[in-house]
Amino acid sequence: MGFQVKIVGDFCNIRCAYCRNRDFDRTDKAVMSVETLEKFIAFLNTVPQPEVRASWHGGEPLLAGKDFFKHIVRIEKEYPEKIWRNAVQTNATLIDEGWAKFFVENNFHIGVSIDGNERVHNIDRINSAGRGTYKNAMRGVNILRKNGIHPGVICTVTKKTVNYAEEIFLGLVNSGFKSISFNVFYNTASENREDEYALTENEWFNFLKEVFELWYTLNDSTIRVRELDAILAWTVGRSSNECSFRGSCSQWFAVDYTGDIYPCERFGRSVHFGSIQTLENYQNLVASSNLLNWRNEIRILPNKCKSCKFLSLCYNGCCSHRRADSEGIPMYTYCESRIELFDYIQRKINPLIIGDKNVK
Amino acid sequence: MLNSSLVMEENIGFASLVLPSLALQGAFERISRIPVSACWEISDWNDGTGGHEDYTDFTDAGD
Repeated sequence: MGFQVKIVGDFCNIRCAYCRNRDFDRTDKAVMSVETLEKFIAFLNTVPQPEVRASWHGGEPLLAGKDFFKHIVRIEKEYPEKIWRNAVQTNATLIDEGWAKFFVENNFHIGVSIDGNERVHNIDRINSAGRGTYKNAMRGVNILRKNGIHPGVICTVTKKTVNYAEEIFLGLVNSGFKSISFNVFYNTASENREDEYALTENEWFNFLKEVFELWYTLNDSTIRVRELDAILAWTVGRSSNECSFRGSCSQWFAVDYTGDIYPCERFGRSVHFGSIQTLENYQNLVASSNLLNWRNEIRILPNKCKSCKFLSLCYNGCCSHRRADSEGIPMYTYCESRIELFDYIQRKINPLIIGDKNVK
Repeated sequence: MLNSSLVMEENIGFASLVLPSLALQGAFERISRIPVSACWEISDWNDGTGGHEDYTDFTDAGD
């Protein structure tokens, strides 16, 4: 069970042009209060599993400051029976030796947001003066690496960058990343397809297909691409761990700096489950009617899914990326591109696994 | 189509498959480390308390 915690709300030190929070105020310096943090960690202690994952998010979470993070660790230690796994998803521009040492000493996992090589990254990941942030971000990444932390990377793909798969993928590999994840652009505050950064089905399929070919040609056993591992797992009878291939949206909750709880950061603040200020414990959260009703709604499958051979791999995709089909049932926006990609990869690897060269 | 049942029924040890691709071998080695408890079927839609261990890092969160 994991919680994405927006400890600074939407507050951020850079101004990515495509930011999913760009319609919110990214200059509002909101920080979770220590009182709310204490309540939140006490709340996490009521999760029934022995292990709890907290992914400290933003905006840019490091803007909360080192003292805030020291509070996190201090409060977690008050509950030694729980296994605490902490992660930070950061733009990496604020990382210095102090942060790196803190992360090492406290066993934090780090994910960074880099959109490819310097040229592509700087198209949209810019600061308030409009200048690219790549050099600052990679400076932070290199400080982490010098201290023995090798962060995974999440790369967002938009209309402006989708045609640069090779630059993006090889740019990430050549700058030393081993664990790579791709997020298709989305906006928490608007309908995706009307957004200037939104991709078409064909664009997303072609991007991932090219990434697969590049990954396959590179032939490096140490390079993990989240989306490809998920598909390959399915081909050999394992289910993916990645939530957008599980359809349930039950692995993570998002928690705002106020303590308000949402299903996932991707929904913005449109679906609200309650607040840690009033829910008291995790059992009250999972028993709340808001959550139960919402989970019942997202389980309804479109007819197209029910007869799809890839249902057990896809489960109607990410819940936040659905739009009503002709019968009004929300269906995964990138359904067709997924089917094409699954078919493509199957045709490519089946002969290699089962030795049947006639498989088309 | 190669699917889950085919592989499992034939009892192929996929983690030790000798593939003509280091990339695929690496992927299947990673996949073999996914705990069985993390595997599920559509009937397993649960209350959010099911086994969801991660096998590499936190990137399964989508963000």
